[in-house]
Amino acid sequence: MMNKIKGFSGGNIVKQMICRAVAVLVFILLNWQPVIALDEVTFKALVEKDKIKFGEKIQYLIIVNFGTNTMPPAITPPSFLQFNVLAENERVQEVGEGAERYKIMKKIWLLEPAETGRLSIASGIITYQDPTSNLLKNGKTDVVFVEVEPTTESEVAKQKKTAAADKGNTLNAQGRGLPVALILFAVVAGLGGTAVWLLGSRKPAPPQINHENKALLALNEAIAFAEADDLDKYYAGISRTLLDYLQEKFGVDAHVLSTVVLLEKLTAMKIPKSNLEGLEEFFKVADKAKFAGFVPDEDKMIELHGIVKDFIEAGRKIKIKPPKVQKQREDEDEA
Amino acid sequence: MPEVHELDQKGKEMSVAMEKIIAEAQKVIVGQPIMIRGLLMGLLTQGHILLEGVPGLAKTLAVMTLSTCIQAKFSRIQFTPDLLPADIIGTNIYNAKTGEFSIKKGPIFANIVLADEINRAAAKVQAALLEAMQEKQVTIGGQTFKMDKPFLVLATQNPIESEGTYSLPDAQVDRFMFKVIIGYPTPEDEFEIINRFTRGIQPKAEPVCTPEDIVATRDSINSIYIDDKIKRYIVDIIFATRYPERYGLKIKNLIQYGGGPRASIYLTIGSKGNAFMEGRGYATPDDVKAVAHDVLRHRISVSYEAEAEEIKSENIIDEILKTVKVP
Ligand SMILES: Nc1ncnc2c1ncn2[C@@H]1O[C@H](COP(=O)(O)OP(=O)(O)O)[C@@H](O)[C@H]1O
Ligand SMILES: [Mg+2]
Repeated sequence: MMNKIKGFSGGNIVKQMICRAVAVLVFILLNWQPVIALDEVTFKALVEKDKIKFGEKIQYLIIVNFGTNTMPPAITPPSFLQFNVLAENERVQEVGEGAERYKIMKKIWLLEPAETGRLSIASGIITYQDPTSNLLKNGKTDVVFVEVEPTTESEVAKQKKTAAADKGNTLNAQGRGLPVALILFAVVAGLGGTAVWLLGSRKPAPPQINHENKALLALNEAIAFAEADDLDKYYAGISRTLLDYLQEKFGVDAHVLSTVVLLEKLTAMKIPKSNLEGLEEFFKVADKAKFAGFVPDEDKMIELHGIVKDFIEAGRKIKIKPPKVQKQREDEDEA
Repeated sequence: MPEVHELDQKGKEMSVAMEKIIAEAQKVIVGQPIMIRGLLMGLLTQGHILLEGVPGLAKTLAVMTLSTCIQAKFSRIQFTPDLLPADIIGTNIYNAKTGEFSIKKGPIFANIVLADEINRAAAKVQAALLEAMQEKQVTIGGQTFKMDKPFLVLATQNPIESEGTYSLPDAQVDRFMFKVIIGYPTPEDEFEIINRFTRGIQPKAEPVCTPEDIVATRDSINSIYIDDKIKRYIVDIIFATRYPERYGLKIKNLIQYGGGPRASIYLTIGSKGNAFMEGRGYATPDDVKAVAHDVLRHRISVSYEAEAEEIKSENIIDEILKTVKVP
């Protein structure tokens, strides 16, 4: 606590906030011209910069324009494979006058690159109601690229310092920083309140990849298929999410092990029995789907979705050090 | 697409009947779930079973109890060194009064034949039994007789090392679907055995179904769905016993020869049986794994090199199951 307060310097934060707000304004103005006649739904994915240094954070946005008389679209985020997701926010806003009124939905992710080089963010999926046919449709945003430059050691050290200062700022943004935040809000409110999100989201971010957050995002992605009535893909999405999560968090080769062996391994890891009960049911259905061509109906699917979600949520409490590289270790065993 | 739901439903109903048999058998037999399950699987899939274990583990008692439960025509053949093939198959008897020959069928004509301590008889007697198992018919005095239905041989044997035994030739053990190994009871089970068998009243099982019920159950096991993915997995496992190097296994020098096509067939049937016992209408890789040891342990012959290192076929099966990719 003490450290954080020491890191605060009043002038700095105002400057920083204004800079960010202006950057966001410019960035949105440059990149986005809303279509006014809303007889179609339009969407776009973009990043605030296309080049950053490793350790720097970056925002990724998906923006959807849709008519006031259609259903709000659902945005299924891409899986940010090369990034850690630090925070996300979504807001909907109405703009325009009279018959020209329409809505803008913005979903914003604060990302931190997990590696260097030319990184990509895959397509997000937009599930929307087509204004002409009234049918639900799926659209894909373009893949977005970010150039991440490696940092020198001194820069890494500097970044650590700024990170510490950032934490101090957050604390004060809620106290002394409040009037500043209000002024900024007035400035940018017209364009979507992105800056507000920026301020709000500047909580201390988890330093490393969070398996649960990642898995829950992926689970959300799968919902788009449910909405598009593609139960096969929805099921595949749920199943892949769970298996990936088991593999990444617990280091078990979930995609290859048979159900009994997998459950044995998880039990041996002292995962509470209550957590595993749901999984048993899940795998029973999974085997049935895989080896008997069974397609779960909607109710079952919702149940499965719930099971996986609960298991992942409960996983937050479990601390496990996964073995470094599972595959390699097995190869060695063989030799 | 299989009618999974229907199969599942049927599987569940049928497995309830099986639970009744198990519960009844357990009035006599304490514990030994592996033995009971093995015997039932044989009964249900029409696969002959070889039980191996030291004397006194209730092998004989278990087979007799099961026969009572299903009201099967049961006969017990105690294999001894002086037994002759005709003693089990039957013979042509000359009637001096009428001057005619008449056929006397042997004890092999029954639904369940307990071939007790099969490895204590000479090879030609074993061969006679195993031929009947394979052909499901025998020839007595030039006349051919079909075996009863169901016809099941449940054989017991002492571990090969025991004195005064003639181990079954490899070609003949291959006829047994399962070779089930029986171990000593757990301390709790041993405690219960004392209680049950020292009261002066012999515990008894009652009939709970008929041989016809068993035959009907077989039909539903036959209809259990086994996906091509599972069949391919089975093929991979069997091929890994023959050509381990193809699966990245460096155990070629430990195997003299691997499983033949009977291994594949019984692994498939056994997997269906296991799915049935679990009340499922379809087989999964875990069903294959569950029966792999019982199907393969007597079908993989280990090399002298493996013997010298005290590596058993069990260890080889473990390695194979760990390595062959599960679908
Ligand atoms: N698990 C068991 N449950 C019940 N009785 C048992 C058990 N194990 C041993 N016994 C007792 O030991 C006796 C020996 O059984 P038996 O069937 O002749 O053995 P085996 O055929 O394996 O040599 C049985 O009659 C029974 O009294
Ligand atoms: Mg005996």
